[in-house]
Amino acid sequence: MKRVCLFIILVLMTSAGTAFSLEKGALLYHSSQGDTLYGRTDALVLPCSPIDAFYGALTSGHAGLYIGGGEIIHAKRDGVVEEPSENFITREDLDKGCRYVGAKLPVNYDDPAVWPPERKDQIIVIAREQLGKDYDFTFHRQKGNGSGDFTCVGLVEYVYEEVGYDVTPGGYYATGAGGKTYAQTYNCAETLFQDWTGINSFTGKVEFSRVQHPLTTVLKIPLGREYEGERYIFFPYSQYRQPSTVAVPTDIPVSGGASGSGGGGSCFIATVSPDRITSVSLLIVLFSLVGFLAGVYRSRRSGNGP
Amino acid sequence: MKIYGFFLALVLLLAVFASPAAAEEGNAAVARQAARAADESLNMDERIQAVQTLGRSGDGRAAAPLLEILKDPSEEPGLRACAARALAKLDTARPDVLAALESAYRETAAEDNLRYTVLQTLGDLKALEALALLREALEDPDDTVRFKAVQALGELNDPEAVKLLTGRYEQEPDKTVRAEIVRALGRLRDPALEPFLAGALLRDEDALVRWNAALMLQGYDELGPEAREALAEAARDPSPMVRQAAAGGAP
Repeated sequence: MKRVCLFIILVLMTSAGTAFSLEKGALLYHSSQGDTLYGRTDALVLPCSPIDAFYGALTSGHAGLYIGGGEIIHAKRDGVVEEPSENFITREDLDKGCRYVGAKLPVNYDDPAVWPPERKDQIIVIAREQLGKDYDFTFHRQKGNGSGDFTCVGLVEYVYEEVGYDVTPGGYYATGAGGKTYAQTYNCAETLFQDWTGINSFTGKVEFSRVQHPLTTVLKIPLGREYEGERYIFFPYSQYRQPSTVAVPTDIPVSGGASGSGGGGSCFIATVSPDRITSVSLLIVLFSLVGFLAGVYRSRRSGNGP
Repeated sequence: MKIYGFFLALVLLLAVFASPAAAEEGNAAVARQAARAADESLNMDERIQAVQTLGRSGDGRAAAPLLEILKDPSEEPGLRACAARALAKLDTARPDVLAALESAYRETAAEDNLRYTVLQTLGDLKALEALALLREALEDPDDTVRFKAVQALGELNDPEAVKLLTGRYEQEPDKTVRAEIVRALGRLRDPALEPFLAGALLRDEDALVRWNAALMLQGYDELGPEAREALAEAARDPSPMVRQAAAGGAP
């Protein structure tokens, strides 16, 4: 008899363990390696070299969408995928120091007059329509518009907009009130080992924050969405800070999954073709050489002149 | 005179650097990226980027190395998915690409997201040639596979595909798949499909499907009497989303 009771209790415990209460549609966030998260940390540091950026040094964090049943849909390096929620932060990313930040849901999500079940289901319909689409490596669109390419936070924002809910107000923040602005000096191969200072910004008010990077300004390789001659990126922490959503407890596994080819959820990584960097860098070196030779020639000529 | 000599030397220098680079640019770039994409010693991110660069190149010579990756079951599924999308962007070697996509989909151990990507890509390619595979995918036990098959069939904009979709609607148990059937057919804006959408709006048991039917009907430039009546009747639907859409409100 005891054994039967024990068995029943065990069965009940097991079934209770799989019934997650986190609602589908929850927005999930985690930090990048070393638990850094662009916007949350005081200093906004972008990697100079595209190679550093390539290996995930762009510490922007990651966002994904919980669709119920222990599954998430998120945009990562190998595209928009649906997978078990424990893959949100893979074991490999955990080892690098990526940490779960939390889950959020729209305000009034529990009010059926505002969020009836069909509106919540529509989130899944829209998200599934994006499965198998590309990651926006150059950040041209970020929210899929036109190209169909997404970044992690861009995908989440797009899905909610399609069900009539604007999580983050649209807009571009360059500098001044409403955000943080930092000067960052780069000195690397891309700047020909000269100091080059760019102004990076972060805002929690609107979607896009301005980024000035030597790749774009010096090498003319576009990085970010263009708006009035400047480049902008939508960072996950801008969305996380929105008062349009509220933090909710997480009772689903969000980490420890196996690493796939797309890694976990390092949101922003490689930006441009290394080929293009090489050829543009070569050209710059060539022109610098020419300039140097011309300078030498001119100084020698003026020295020998009358 | 010296200054002319200097500039001539400069021009020659530039020519020496630039001409071969320009001449060989396409070939060398494709070969370099193909080597990177295939190099298993590289970080997977680098390989993914090389695959994407090949796809964006628009160079037909990139098809062969991409096909090699897509066809190789021992490669990472994510990399193969990227190769599938890159091939679709190249828009070349269509029969080979479609055959490789189909064979990747049919692998016994095919990873779910690779299958979703194949279906998405077939839709992007408007691959009428893959109708048989899409018909088969409509019967798959995985509801996301059925969902992506529906989406792809809608992209074909073909009478046979429409017939498959309307037929599937009647037996489809999953509401998100039924909703996608309604969306896929509604996107065609075909007046002949108005009765189908009107029927879904009035009779589907699930508000999600009825809501999407209303949204799709509202997307038509002009509606026939049956669809107009259905929208008027939907103003009394128990779902606030259906009522809002029937009245012409955006989601």
